[in-house]
Amino acid sequence: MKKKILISFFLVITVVPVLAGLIYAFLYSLGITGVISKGLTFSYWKEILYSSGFFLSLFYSLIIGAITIFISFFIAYFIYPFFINGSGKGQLIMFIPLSIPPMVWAFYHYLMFSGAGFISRLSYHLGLISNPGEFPVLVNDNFGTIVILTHVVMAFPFFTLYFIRIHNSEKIDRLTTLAKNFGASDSEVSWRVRLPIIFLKSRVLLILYLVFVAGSYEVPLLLGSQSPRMITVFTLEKMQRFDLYDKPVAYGAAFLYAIVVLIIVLFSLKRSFRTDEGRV
Amino acid sequence: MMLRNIIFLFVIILSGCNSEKQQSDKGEEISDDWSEVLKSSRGKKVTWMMWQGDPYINKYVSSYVVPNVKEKFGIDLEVVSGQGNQIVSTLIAELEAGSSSSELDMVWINGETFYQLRQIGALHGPFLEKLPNTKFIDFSNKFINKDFQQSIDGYECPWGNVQLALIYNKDMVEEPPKSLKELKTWVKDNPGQFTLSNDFTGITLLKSWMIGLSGDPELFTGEFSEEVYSKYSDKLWDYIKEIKPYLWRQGETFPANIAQMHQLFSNGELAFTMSNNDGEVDNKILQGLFPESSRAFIFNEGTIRNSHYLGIVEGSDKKEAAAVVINYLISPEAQLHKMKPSVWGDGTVLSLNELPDSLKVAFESIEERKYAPDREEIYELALEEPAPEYMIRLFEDFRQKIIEQ
Repeated sequence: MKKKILISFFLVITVVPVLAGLIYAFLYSLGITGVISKGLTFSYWKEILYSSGFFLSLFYSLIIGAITIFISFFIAYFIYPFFINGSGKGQLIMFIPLSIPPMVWAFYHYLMFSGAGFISRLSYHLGLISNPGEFPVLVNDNFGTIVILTHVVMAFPFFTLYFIRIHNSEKIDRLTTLAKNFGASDSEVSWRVRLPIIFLKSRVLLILYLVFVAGSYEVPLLLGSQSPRMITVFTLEKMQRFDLYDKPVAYGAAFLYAIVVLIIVLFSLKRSFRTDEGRV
Repeated sequence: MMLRNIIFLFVIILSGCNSEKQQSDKGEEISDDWSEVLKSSRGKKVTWMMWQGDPYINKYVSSYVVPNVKEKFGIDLEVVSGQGNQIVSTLIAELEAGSSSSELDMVWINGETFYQLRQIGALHGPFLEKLPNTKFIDFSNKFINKDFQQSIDGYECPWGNVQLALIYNKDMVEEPPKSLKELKTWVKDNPGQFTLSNDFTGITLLKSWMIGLSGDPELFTGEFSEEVYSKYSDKLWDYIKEIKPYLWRQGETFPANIAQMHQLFSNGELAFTMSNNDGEVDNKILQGLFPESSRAFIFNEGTIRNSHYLGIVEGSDKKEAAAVVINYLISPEAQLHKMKPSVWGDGTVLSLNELPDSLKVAFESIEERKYAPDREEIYELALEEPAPEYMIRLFEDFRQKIIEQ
């Protein structure tokens, strides 16, 4: 009975509000509810599904997320061994970038990498460029260069700390010694022993972090491109711009994005459980 | 049992979905007797949502308006930050939640927000005839009595009147281009130094250009015309496509808002910026944000002139106190102070002919603007705001036909 009450309580504070929000967004996008509602219509969904805006933004966001995770994973993978046997001060340094809010990182990078930013000014004084227009476009570019950089500087310290925990809990040191006793080289140990363990054990976290990056707002708002836009920027623009009848489109886009994310997370969790049970 | 509880909770939460337009209690009405209005407003707290992106405007409100309404009328004026879309979102959320009274009492708006708020019935009115100081307002002026071609119908009170101006750095631009034709040549000769912001101000420039390219501003008066829009927006896109490769960043991206564009201008990355307030160049120089070599001008084709307004929220339960504050904001005293370039530099909505001689003289002897063009001169080049649909369409098409190409 006590267990049932606890489960009910958990569902009430987590699942129910989220589901209610999703249902509300769905009804709004169908014109069934909302202050501008004029009854059931599929016109907003036609705009979401048939215009390229939503899917382009979704794909772009996931690509930005995937590149961020890929770069951060390998930076963390190669640097975490240097922090394992330290006094702990090294690990403490990793907490510094994590303690800075994303918006502050974004602003800092804007001041560093924009056309009239610190690096551009330095290049000017060194005679490398003669005006700000010659400085390469890094901020607000289509490749999301500084968006990725901003997320990487926050992600890799987090991954590093996480990999240290995995390394210790999975006793990778002992497995390394064992592999070497069987004649494995350092490179073979790194690629065929350490990497698979770290990757499989952190897979769910990587997926969740990808979803977090793809759904970030402040960083792409300041540093991202206007075309294509990250999915959050796309949705918020629809929500806040001049046309009231874009609001149901924004609700529909938010609903669809949530469903896509839910599918990705559930799929990765299912795969992770199967792995843990030895059915890769 | 557990399932039943969860379904019950769902029903409760989702019952909110059908609660829009339930703000049945419209709060107090504004009495016809102004002395009653003043009496009942004393001791009330009024919440005003307004754009707070300019330190001069913020200072005018916090150091001048707030203490004066407290001292003169006993009203505590609380200012909260938010512009068009946030005002609309807040009031929509309140309507959909069925709140009995609004968090906001008065709002600072202009045409596109007025259009949206009228659509959802979030503005109180008509209330203008109840404000004593409206007798000084120049309602014969077409730039004041209409807002984006919509009759204001007493649902918003004119507060200030301004015109879009381009600002250039004369150290970088010896002689600014005075027409769209000259601009095209200048942009091609000086690549990377001109752009427009992808926001309200930038779209206002596009509207001005579209009207300018038509050669007949009268076409854009009255209700939205699909035929007029199609014909002249095509001309506008052709013009922009021709200069796009020579714009800042080759026109692949545009500053997201005017603040970003001002920053690019002040650090020398751009030779031009723009402002919806023709007098802003003076106060930005005084603030030290723009170089002293900055100057403002208007294209020969003209630019949009419009007013900004104050509205009372329908769901407010302090409408009378909000009306007292608005009445003070349109008083000759407050308008005179606001018009000074060292304070804000905002154009007045009052008709000087309606004012007593002493006040008229005071308005006429306001210190001259040093860097902005003469008010009378640019008035000759003023274009009316077209209907709100032009802005909605231009914003969407600018994305599809220019940014995404």
